[in-house]
Amino acid sequence: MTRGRARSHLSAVPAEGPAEASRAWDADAAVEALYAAHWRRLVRLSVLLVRDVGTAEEVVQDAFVAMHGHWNRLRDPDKAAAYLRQTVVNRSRSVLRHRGVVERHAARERPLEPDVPADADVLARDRREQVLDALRALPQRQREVLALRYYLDLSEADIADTLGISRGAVKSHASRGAAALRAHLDGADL
Amino acid sequence: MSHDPDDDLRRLLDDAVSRVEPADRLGEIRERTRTTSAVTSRRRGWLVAGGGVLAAAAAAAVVVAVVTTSGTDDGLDEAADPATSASTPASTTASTTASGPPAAGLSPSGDPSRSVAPEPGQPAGTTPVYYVGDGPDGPDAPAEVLYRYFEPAADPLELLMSEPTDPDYRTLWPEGSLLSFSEEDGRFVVLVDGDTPVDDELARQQLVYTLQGATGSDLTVQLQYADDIGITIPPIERAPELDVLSHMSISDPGEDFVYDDDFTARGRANGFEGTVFCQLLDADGEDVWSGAAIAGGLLDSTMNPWRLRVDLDGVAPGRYTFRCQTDDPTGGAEGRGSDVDTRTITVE
Repeated sequence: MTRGRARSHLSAVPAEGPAEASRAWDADAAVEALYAAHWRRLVRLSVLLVRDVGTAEEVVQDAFVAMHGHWNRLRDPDKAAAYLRQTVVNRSRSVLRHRGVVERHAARERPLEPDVPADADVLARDRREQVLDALRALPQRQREVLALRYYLDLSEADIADTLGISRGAVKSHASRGAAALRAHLDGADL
Repeated sequence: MSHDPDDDLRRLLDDAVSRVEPADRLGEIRERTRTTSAVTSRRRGWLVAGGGVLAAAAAAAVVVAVVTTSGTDDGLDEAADPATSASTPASTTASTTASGPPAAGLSPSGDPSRSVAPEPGQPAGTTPVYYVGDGPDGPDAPAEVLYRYFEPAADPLELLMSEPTDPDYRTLWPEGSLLSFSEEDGRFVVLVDGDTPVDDELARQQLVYTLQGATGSDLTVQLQYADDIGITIPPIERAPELDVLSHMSISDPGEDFVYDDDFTARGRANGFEGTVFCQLLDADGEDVWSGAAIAGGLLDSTMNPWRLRVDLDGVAPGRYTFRCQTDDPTGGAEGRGSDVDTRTITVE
């Protein structure tokens, strides 16, 4: 360890100017408004990608914090929503990559639906879990494209922007993904 | 099943998450963004004088300390210090794609005078890869920029199609998109799959920067469809560094490096007066250490090397974010804003 360095202390934090204050308000207000509009839908999007609700909440929470930090660049609710979407997809992907194989197959931290009610509901719950499992079995890009296309109803161009891939690639992932998903679910009583 | 297959998938996906009711996290988000604001405003106070290096005593936000660096730490030469690199315990940097030596095709053949030259600051046994990450926060900043990361040595095309070690980054080249590369007539010819983002300029720059960096050459890159003879894709020229790269780049440490003692961080930057400001942030975003350096050379048109001794004296064991940024005198009000690069490290 390096010790005993000569240090002299200077006071050096300026008062915040009005510009700083108004930007801070903008970013905070943007977080509030976008949270109200998008929180649930983005968590559900992330659940389609990562399967686990607690993880999805973490991912989307991180995305909101990152959006706040980037507000100076975004400044526009539409751009911010697109940024959130992209960040949620990217971070969901990162989480999967870092989640160990063991953990991936272990029981989920939090069940999707805590209550176990009547038989009909149990069937419906099984169906939902089958769909999520089938999504989980797809290659990552296909899963992402399907979630953006069929859950968020994004256009091909918006999906291409979100994922940073060409529209041709979106098309091909979508058709391969849809076929694979149907194959996985084939035979299931849906 | 419905006769419209698209409606069918819409219904299935919508239904699959219809019972998910996420917990309310607005309070936590507010808490964390308050911390972000505090850190952002605090950095506006950093002073840099002459060639001197100023650093902050982290816990006390209002105090800036002048660090008198000694001897070897003064140098701004980013050239890798093999001893330091080798002694850096990199517990999790080995990736599955990088277990072997560089592919045979890595060195451009036929011209022994153009042997593989390492990039500035490149540690031994690594391959520089240029990944895509978020751009800086200014209103005129590009949304995405390239970040250089030194991966364990491997075939550069394989690396470009693999998940980056640092999860802040991503690649625009999907698995299977890049088939091979060779040197022909003084350029690199890269065979690509038909389903490949060849029009995406950032993806193209990712490729040319990575191939040139990995081979130590300055050859242009020609893309060719493997199965579509007759379609010509314009050759890729490398764009100027400051147009496409993040103006802040950490070369060392790598992601998930582990330290039990002080270490020297290195990187390249280009920003206002060459100032590089780094922090070690704990899980709550509080800085437990901070310091500043000057990216040497003061050339306006290139990335300039910097190095900074990170003092772990008094830093508790745990996971930290090592965060470095360029100075933005406008505080994000105009222009490009601050370029930022981060690494997650562990202090033991």
